[in-house]
Amino acid sequence: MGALKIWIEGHENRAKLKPLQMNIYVRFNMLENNIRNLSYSNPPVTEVYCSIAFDPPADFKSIYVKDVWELFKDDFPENVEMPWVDPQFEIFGGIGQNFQLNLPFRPFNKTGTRQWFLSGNRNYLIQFQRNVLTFNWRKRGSSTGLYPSFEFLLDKFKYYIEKLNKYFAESLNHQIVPKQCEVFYSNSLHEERGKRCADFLKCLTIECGSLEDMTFSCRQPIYGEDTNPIGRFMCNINLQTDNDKKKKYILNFLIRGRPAEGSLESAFDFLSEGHKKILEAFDGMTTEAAHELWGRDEK
Amino acid sequence: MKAYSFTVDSFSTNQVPTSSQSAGEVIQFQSTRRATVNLSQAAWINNIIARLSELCALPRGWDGYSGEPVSYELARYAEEILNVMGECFCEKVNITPCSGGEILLEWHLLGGDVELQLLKGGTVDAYLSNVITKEEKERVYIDNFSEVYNWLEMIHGENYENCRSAIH
Repeated sequence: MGALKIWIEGHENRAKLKPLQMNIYVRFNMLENNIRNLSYSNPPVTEVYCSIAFDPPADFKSIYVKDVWELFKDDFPENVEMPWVDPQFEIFGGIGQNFQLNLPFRPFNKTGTRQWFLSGNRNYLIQFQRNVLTFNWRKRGSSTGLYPSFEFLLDKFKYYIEKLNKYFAESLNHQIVPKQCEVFYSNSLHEERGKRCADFLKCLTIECGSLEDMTFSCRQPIYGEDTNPIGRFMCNINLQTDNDKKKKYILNFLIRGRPAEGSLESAFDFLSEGHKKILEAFDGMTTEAAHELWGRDEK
Repeated sequence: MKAYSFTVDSFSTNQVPTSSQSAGEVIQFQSTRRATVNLSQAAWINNIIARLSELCALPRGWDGYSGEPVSYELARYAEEILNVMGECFCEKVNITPCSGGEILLEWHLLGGDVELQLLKGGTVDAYLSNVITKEEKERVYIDNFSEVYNWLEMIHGENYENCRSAIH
């Protein structure tokens, strides 16, 4: 496994100030681990989403959005209108994405708005726009904030997108053909039970007491069985300050790519594999002390 | 100077918003790579924007027959492909609609031609004609354009290194 170790040690000019010390240890090939039946009983997860992007039905009109909400309204009674988000495609080759055109054209009759359909407790959220369906779970408050497991969330997502597909087929003569899938995890690593933020991560241990801001990001292609790239793994770590002025690391993982085939089943497989890779990366990047705190169990 | 930062949108909702966002809006999932493009100097960006916008606005029957409109999603895919091709090749690309709603990206350079036909299903038919080696190739790609980039380098000729060094 390739590895890069960076040691940055500096001292403030004035002797009375504490020395600044950063130890950044970056493990490449974070996806090389192959852990089976790994689980955490009390993971620091604060948000998860699964998403599938597809070509929209021809001549999809904004008025159909109400029909889509009707599909989910029993479980998601609240609606909020949000700005459009362009689904991203992972492209490989060339010079890499050194810049982004990010074209501002968004023809109103070919885009529209993004709709949030919120569950009663607001922990669950469906995001719908004509070319993407996303299902989020969010930790909100301590009493309703138990992470329900990826399998549970994926099953729910399957049910919702199949329902949407049935509506498209029956009303708009259209089948969903998945073009990009995403699975996202956000974790909040904050001081608890005598552990500091810096005790949680193997890959980045920084005495963050005096730091005002910090971001670490990386991307890595994921390869299919035929060695062609099929998606990307992305990770970033940010330092944030709570409302009560406590500092915490936000550890985000995103896997995005094209499923092997243009079927929903294939998309679900991609999401499931993506979750495994995120779990492996999370496990590889965090310390044993943190694992103990979060109830790691490997069978 | 207005600059574009390279970021990746995500559908996350409970991040702390940056100063330019309000709570609940899309957060930017920061990537490791970042570069800025000075728009006041980048006429090629404006040309691509104008051309893809034009394609998206085409009505049904735009070619005088039964020409299908170009979908926004396909135009976005073209944008993503051009993103990895780099400035040298982006400023020389011709973007043309096809009657079935497909998009054709063409490069006619000193050493030959490269054509990419972006099909609705997401696959790309690629064609190379190298006038120096008399070589012709046809391939089908999805998402991975490493070989296409090599073709472009091949037919760009000596000017390519000058172009690269001028940019970097």
